[in-house]
Amino acid sequence: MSIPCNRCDRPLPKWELARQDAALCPECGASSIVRVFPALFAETAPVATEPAAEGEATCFDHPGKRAAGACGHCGRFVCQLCAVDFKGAVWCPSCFAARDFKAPAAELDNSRILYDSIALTVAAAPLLVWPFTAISAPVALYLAIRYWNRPLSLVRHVRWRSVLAVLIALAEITGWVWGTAYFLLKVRA
Amino acid sequence: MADARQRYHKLPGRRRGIVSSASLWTGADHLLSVRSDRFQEQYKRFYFRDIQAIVITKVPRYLVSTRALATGALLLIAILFLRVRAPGLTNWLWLSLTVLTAVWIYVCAAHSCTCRLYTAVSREDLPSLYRTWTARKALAEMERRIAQVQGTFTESWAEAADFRPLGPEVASGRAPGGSRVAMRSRTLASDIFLASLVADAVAVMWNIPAKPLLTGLSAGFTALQLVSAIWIFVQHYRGILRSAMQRLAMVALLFIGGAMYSQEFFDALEAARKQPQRPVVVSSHALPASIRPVYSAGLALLAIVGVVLSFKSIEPEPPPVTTGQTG
Repeated sequence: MSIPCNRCDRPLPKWELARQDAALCPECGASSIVRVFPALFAETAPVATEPAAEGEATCFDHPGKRAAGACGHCGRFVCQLCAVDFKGAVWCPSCFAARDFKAPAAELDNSRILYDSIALTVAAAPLLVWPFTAISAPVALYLAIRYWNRPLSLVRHVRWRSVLAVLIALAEITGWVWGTAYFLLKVRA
Repeated sequence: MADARQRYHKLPGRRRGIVSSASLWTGADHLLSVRSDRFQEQYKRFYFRDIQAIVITKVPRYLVSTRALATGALLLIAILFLRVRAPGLTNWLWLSLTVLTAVWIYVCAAHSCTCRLYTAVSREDLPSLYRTWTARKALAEMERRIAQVQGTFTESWAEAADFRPLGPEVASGRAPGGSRVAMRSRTLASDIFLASLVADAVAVMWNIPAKPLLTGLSAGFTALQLVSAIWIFVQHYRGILRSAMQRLAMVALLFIGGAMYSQEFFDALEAARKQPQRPVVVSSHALPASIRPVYSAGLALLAIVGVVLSFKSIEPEPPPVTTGQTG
């Protein structure tokens, strides 16, 4: 059977899979809920490319293959295999790999650095050992302002961490300025 | 900056670790798995049209979330603060802590699960779904969204399931996400680890009237256990060592850490009992005589289990996730 138990990786038997509530693994005894979707049974055929006839446009990367379209960015001809369909336009692999889009495509991001979280941590964590805030506060302020316009997380769009980092950093800087001024005035007095 | 924003809706379940976290979101046409280490997020997209199967298996999972950790820490801090001012209240707090710990153990043992999602080219664990009730809720939502795209079965799929491969095709080598192919039961790292366990057990047992030399020797063996355990983790990660030894190393580290912290804890309680009106000063270096036999026996037991695992005949490897065969 093709569907393995999550616990022991042994295949779950067919009679157990037929039960909709819970399939018991005969090897480890673990109970599994298995949901299978029609994609498992979908027929997938390899992409077919056709050889180019005499005088026909050919693929830039595969000279023997008939062109199926032109890259919307650089204009190179691409065959069926090379054509990348993205956002309703055809792209060649080079342009797509270079990600030379007019606007950054959030649909392609596979990771993001969370500068707002970094700024907040740099601002707040040194409060545990407060003398470090003399250095960390300007750094946090710089990070928050420098990367203010960088895209946030894909799933949360509120910039409260950056705002909080700026407020904490400003408070720390104010504290240092006030403390230093107070100390100097006291010494002078 | 212009950002092509796609609205995501959060699915039930979120794993909150001290450093890392994980969550699951649904977009217009895909599922988004988000893993975060606080300063960076990693995304994986699973288009509804591509999802072949979702398997949720009930397994015990002893995961300590930040919420549970914070609750426990708050209760312990409250106990430490109230032990002088309101000693009667501390008993109730201890009771609450015990009950909450028992509930946590019960939930971890009886209502936890692991969730895995299959497409034609990937097999992905969904770490945010580790409690059965949230997994069921998330599964219901995912099923609804997938059914909108793929439709539903008109007849039982189980009959045909024999003849279809699930997940990515793996011809040879390491299975995706798996780690059992061509792994060894013992290596130099595991041998050193087991030897240090045995030596530490003997050193602790002989150290009943505490002697500085044996105490130092035991500390050295503990350091050796830590180093070899890390080496074992690395070897397992690289596909050299089987997971059994890695799990044993984890249990051993938890045992050693637990023994040390419980020693500190009981020392603190003892000091607080002797001088209730003064700050607690803990100054113990060797394990108390009452704990030593238990600690030594625990180490010896772990070493025996390790030796059995090392020399246990290697079972035939489980079949790969997919065979690529159609028969």
